Amino acid sequence: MMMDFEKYQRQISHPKMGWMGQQQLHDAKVLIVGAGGLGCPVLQYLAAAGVGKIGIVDGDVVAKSNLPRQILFTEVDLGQMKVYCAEKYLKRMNADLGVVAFPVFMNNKNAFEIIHDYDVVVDCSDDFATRYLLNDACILLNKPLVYGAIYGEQGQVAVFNLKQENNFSTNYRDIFPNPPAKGEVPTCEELGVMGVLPGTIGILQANEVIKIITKQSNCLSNKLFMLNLSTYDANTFEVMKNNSVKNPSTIIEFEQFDYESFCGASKNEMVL
Amino acid sequence: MDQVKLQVFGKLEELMGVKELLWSLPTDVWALRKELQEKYPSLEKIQYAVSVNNKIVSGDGIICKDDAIALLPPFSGG
Repeated sequence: MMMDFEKYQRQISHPKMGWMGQQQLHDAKVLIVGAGGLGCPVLQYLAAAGVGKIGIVDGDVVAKSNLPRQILFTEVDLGQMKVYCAEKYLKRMNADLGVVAFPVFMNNKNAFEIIHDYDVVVDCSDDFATRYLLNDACILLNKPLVYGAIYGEQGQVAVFNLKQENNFSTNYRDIFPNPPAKGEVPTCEELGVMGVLPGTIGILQANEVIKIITKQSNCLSNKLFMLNLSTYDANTFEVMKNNSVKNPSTIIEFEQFDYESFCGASKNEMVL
Repeated sequence: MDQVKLQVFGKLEELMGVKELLWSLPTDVWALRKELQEKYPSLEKIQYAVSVNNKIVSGDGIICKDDAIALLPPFSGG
């Protein structure tokens, strides 16, 4: 399809994008797992920037308490599947966009089938079982994973499993080999959250996706970035390979790995 | 006395009641974890990563005088 020059003129004029960068976005396929506080801004900015194909994975419906931070949804969407509401909104924003809605939660039985067709995966989930599962699936399928997570007024962003020139890449398990026990880390429901925090962290995730697709050299690969929205303290930590880490090394091992007991909770006990 | 500077994030900030503190020089990351747990027993079952001079290191990472240490718990919210 011909690219709309008028629409993307400001991006094409940007020295780090140009025609080539815009074409790379147009040709890219990005999968967003979780259409919540993080997923909404990621979807919004990637759709607006001209990413050609976006997949959205979420098995949940829109609840009233989602509205202050899940900015793709409105009062009329209450009770509707998030993925279909998001699809409708994004198609209105950008009619050129290809959207694939997966109205399911990701698990180790459906992960490969969903992920394999995409170039970049974005972790916008809100529970540890999904985070470990996505990490392991992306290692086995050799897909870069853009991670974001929030707590209180603080957020984390990282790029995992991105193979660059030296073929060296780290992943979530290199930082956190073992998940916390059930209840150890309070959820957004328990701790409270202001919408601007996932909004900010989600936009940083979208920024990393754009940098990966357009092959910019300075993305957060092998780094963990942390931002405090209260103090504006920002820290970047280098991630080293942790040789004691064991993740499933085959598809069969992955499909047999029980992520929910590994992370000490079943999906329906977790807050979405 | 030889010391290191500890920077504390996330839930650990609440459990330890501080954002930053000085700590007497431990030999390595294992020793630091053990000493922290003695002073803050609630850390016993808490998962967190440790960085030394902005590098996230595993258990036997060496710590030297004046190193900047960060204690980084996982976040799950989204």
